[in-house]
Amino acid sequence: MSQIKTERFRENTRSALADRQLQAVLGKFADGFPVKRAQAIARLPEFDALRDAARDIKNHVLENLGPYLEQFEAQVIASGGQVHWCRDAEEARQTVLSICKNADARTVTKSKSMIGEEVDINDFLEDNGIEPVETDLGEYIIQLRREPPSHIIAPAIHLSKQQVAETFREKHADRAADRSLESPRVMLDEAREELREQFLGADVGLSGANMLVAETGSIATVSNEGNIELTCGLPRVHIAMASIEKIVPTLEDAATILRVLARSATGQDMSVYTSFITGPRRPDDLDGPEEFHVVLLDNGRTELLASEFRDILRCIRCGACINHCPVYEAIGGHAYGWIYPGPMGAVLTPGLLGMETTQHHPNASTLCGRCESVCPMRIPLPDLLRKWRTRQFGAEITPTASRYGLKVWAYFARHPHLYRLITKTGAIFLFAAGGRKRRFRHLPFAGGWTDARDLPAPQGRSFMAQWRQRPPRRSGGRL
Amino acid sequence: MTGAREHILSAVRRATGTGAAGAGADDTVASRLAAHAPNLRPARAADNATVVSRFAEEAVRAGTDVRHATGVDEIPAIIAAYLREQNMPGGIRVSDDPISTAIPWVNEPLISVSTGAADPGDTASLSVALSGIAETGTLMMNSSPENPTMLNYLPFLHVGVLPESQIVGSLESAWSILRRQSGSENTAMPRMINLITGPSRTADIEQELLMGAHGPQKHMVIILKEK
Ligand code: SF4
Repeated sequence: MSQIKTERFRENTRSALADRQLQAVLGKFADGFPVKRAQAIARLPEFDALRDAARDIKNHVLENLGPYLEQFEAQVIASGGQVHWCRDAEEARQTVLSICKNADARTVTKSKSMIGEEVDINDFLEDNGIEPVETDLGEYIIQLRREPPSHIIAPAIHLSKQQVAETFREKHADRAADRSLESPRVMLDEAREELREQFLGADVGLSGANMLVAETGSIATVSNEGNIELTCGLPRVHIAMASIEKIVPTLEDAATILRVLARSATGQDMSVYTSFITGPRRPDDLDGPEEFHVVLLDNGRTELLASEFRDILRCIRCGACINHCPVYEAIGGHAYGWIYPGPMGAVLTPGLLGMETTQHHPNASTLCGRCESVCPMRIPLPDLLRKWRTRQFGAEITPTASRYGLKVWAYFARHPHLYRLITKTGAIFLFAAGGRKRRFRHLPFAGGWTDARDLPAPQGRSFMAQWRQRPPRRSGGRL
Repeated sequence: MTGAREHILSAVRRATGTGAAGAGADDTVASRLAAHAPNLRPARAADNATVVSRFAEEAVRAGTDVRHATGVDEIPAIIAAYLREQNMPGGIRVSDDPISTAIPWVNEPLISVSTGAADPGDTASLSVALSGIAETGTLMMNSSPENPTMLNYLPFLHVGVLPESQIVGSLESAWSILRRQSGSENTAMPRMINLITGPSRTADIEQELLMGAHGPQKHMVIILKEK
């Protein structure tokens, strides 16, 4: 389901822009999360100071990740759980499969896990005769449709309610074909009923984790639906999948991260359910799983830790950068070709999959900086994108024409007199050629621009020339 | 996979520049864990005289139905009225906590009470919270043989009884209660700590907010003032 199609980014983008249904859904996007986030933050004057505190926690963790991981592991074992270290996706898949096999599992309920998506666990379990059932409503819908998620916190955001209704009518085949599926309420109730049976019948529950608390060996989960607790609490075996950078030192540190997480994600002060799970069922408990496993995944993170991209490992997957990205808003999540879209994805994906198949991702950005301005962990996303571009250039991945163009530009940039001469001549020429409409519909070598929009004709003088002749300012005045 | 463990840990150590023994880093980590110092706490999380009213206000914002009781003997009437109002059946699954077992249900003969772990057929449940967090109107529930976790999740209505004396300003203060209760500075964590802020919800279909996804559609907190 999460096949990697990152190298098709350009084609995907073109079809996304032409997809009317998708564009209609994306049109509503900007009024949702960004507005709610702004409202929540308006009620918390300390928000920016909390972002600093959250950033500092994760920086400290990343600097001391080794001892924290060992401490976390020791505490999981002390509370009766097991930790499985996995270098890559294949090891993670095999680990999950062998736990499921030991449990004689036939069905596995799943709560949303980006790590599960990253290692493509669903397809793998299915191929091995085990039925995975997604329980987050959005994930459930896209699983029925066999689509990948299009957003890290709202996986079905690309769908209209009519599409969801059609999917339910087709897949819930034993229900009356002529039933009404008019409203999201009716659809939710139907999904809830379907999934209740799954929750009660599953042998293994597979979850993600928002944080791993080193102090106590707890995993922390966050949701609004309540599906995570039913996933972790009802089956006999619970497996949590998490990547190594999810560590926080203490319960107090977890409290700080929680203050910025939900506000940045959905604009809630706090998500409805936050749970700290520590080990399996205790001797006299009446419910809870008998086995508790944590699958700890590296899959490229230690390399990022050693690189100039370390900052991206502070990411708490809130989605704020995606929700404020003009590129995402124009093309949606599927165009990116893998599970992590938007700015965080454009930085993370080349790190996890390599630069070769992801060359367009760091370039699909205007570097407008909105993502960095909203990131609760203060990750310098535009700067990291720029670093990928530099690496691409160094590794000669940047297309020849662009490389050549950049080199030409660099030559002139280093020779300001020549640069000014060229821009001056160019401005005069384009002014003369601009015609009465003052814009170009076609321009040689600039098809990338003029295919989709007109290029305004310059006013006849270069910026530098105009600057030199600006009227004198009042003394002390600043522009 | 021991090979994987060593491989990952040594890659981490190389990346962070800490040696194989990592002694320096180990000390930094040990002292931070031992101190478990709170970070910045916002003003609205203060532990002061207004925690109870702030808790109620924030809980209502989150969609919780807040009620007040002076003594456990007022609880059955509150619940009976609510079940009638919501047109719900009269059964309730109640935890085995000392506070819940002290509730005198005899005054409401139409309510049938059962105890034990939650059953998929249960429509309403009641259990006792360890703490309430005023900052966000959040209940802190801890799992124990007396308070099984699924009571908080399976039924349509979950009622959390919250002793007023347990309401604090912040999650950090609630952690202190937990640390005190376990009798040691090193927390002995229960299997589950559930922080609950309002009823279950989803906005996964066209961003339309709907209550009652997989967890309870109705969430009630009874703030209990002991006489
Ligand atoms: S990069 Fe920042 S804003 Fe984007 S998902 Fe991660 S934490 Fe959130």
